[in-house]
Amino acid sequence: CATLRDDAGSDGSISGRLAVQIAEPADRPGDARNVSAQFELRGDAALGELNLSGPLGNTLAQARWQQGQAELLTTQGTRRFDSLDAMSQEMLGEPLPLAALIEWLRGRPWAAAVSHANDAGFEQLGWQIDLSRYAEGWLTARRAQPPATTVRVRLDRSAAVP
Amino acid sequence: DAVDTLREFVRDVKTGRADFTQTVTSPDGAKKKVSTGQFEFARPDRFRFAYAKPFEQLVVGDGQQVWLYDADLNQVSVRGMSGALGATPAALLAGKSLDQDFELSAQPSAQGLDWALATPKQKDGAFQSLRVGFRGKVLAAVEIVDGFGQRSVLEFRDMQTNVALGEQAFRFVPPKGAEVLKQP
Repeated sequence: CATLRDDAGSDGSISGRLAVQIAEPADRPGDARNVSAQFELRGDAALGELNLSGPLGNTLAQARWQQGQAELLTTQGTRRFDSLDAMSQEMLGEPLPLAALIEWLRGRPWAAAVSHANDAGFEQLGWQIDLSRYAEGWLTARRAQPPATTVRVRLDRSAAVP
Repeated sequence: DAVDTLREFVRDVKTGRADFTQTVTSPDGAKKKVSTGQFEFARPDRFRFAYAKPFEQLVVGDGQQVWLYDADLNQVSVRGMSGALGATPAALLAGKSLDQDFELSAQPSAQGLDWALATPKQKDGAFQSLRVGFRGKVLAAVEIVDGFGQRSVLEFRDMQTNVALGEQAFRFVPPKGAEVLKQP
């Protein structure tokens, strides 16, 4: 993938902490999965980079993507995927709409799919995106359809106010 | 040299407490994230990083498990200690098997500190290098470069050693209502 320059045309990077929690599916009890990490996101769904790190500053994983091709670097090495969703399947054992999530983190629907605005924010791909406290740096994305999944995000204050 | 000082530190300092400033620099050096808090440890395997700024987070190693509590998200992640301690900065400071876990070598003094380099013997790729800086006999800094080139420097102030730390210092009980997530 092309190395991403800071002025990659997007409106700069955003960072914060995110927690993904996937409820245990009926057929695999005890298989609740979760990820919580500090993140830094550069670029957008088409071309971008996502870094996940722990509190002590140690990188957990680095993901890069461009024209649908995705690359995931972890301490175990590098893996390539032909879609962002395939990469999220690897990261979480569940195909999250990663391309859409990247745009949701910026407080906007993903342009490549239908979305419906509502008082809390908007609905897209079966997810309810709650932006009611986005200006304070809070965002929540919930999928009701099993396995129920919740993504909670706390943006670093500087990033929340454009 | 600093390697002797580090060995003495591990041998003689059973507990410690200090304020710290942590600066994490991205591999390309473009991004820096500064946080501050208080660090406590007790050999052989207990430690506590209480981050206060810019947000409240707590990392507690209680000897069996490592707890991470994020106050904003009101969430606790917990995972086994063995995987976590191994060759981490916490092991370097709080652990007891220094020479077992690390290759040690002295480095030139820099920023007014004498540095020792600790390279983890357990090659799991998590860390490229850990360096420990002493001002005389006093632990002053730890620098961690991870497998991706991300650099995290912990600078300690007012390091008190062999202080009496009660049993409670390293016991973590998830707050009522907090979600507790087990990590592999």
